Amino acid sequence: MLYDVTFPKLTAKTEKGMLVSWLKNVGDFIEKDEVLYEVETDKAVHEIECPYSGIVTKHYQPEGTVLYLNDLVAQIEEASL
Amino acid sequence: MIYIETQSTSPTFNLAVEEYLCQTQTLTEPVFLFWQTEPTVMLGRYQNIYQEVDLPLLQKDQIQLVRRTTGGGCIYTDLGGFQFSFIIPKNSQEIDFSDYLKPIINVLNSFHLAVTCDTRNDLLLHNKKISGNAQASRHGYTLHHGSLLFQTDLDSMTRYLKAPKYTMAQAGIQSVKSRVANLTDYLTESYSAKEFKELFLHYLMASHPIQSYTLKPEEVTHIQLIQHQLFENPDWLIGKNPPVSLTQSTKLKGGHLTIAADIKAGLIQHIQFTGDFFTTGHIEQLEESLENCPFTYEAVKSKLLTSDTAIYQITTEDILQLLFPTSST
Repeated sequence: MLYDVTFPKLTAKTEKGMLVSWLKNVGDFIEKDEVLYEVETDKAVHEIECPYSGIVTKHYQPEGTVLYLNDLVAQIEEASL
Repeated sequence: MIYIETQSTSPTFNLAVEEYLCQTQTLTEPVFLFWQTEPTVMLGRYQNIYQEVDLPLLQKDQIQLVRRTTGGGCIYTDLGGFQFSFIIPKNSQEIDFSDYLKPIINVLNSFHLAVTCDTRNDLLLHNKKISGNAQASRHGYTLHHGSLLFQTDLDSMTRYLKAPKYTMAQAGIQSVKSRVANLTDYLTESYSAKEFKELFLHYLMASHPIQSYTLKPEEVTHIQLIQHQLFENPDWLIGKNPPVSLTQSTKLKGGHLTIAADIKAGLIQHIQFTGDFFTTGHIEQLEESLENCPFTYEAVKSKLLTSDTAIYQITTEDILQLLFPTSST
């Protein structure tokens, strides 16, 4: 099963940030709550955790993209048992 | 809260203490550090090194250049300034600066300094910046890092944070150049940096119960490993640099020269020389010889000096000045 990961609300005031680094490449396995990417907002670098376990099958956005609330970020294929 | 005296003025050691505490999660109570550094230029995590600093000048003056883990802009720090760090287990995704700035403001108020906080989370005194702040979420912890200008050499700050005069289209995040001031300009009493630090900690402890913690020898060894493997690793300093494209033009005795280059992870990916100059040999050979060359003054100079291609009445030094303009140019 494929899941889309979207950009979450970071703070009450912050709804956008720059995707500065992918920490998992396409093809990598990721555990739920493991860090998938980093986003920089004004003066803060946030580690963003993945809400699913599985294989990263797609990066929807390259590094350097400004992400807005609910933007598609990555696709995860749930690992089959 | 726990206070750790790091007993070091090495910027990379102190950054490694922050990282060690986040990585190992040995202390579950909030930790506070208050430290100083030797003269250092400190980049934000994802800042563009080529835009923020004049690398040849830093090398010439032997100023340390380090990259921290938190976001925000490039700073200059020396033994006349202080850095403060809060390392706190993260209980939500949200990073609220005000939680960390309130105790600092309260302490500065105890010195009769009417400090305010602006929308960029800088602390101001009479509309001049005396503290910049940045954060990162690391390994389940929130790291808040701030700088405090006590008696920093502001001439050096201006000298070393002067950006090269490139025309750049790039993805890095620029520093906000704002007016700054030292606390000593406003303190009603005269303190040495040592006296100020002692009194600062005294005021902080008066409002927050604080225990002192001494790093164990094995912890220092672990921290030194992080210092060496992460913060003193050129890949960390240069490799985190965002891709950059630069275009620089000039008119020289030998004609107009424009150099366009793409730089990624500190290496020249592509470079092109165009203009109305004459060459001996093929300019493409010179361009190819520079591909994958580190984008540093010395490395480029070495390639230029060994190239079979020469540009009539345009010297190696002309090209280097175009690529690596110094503050004196």
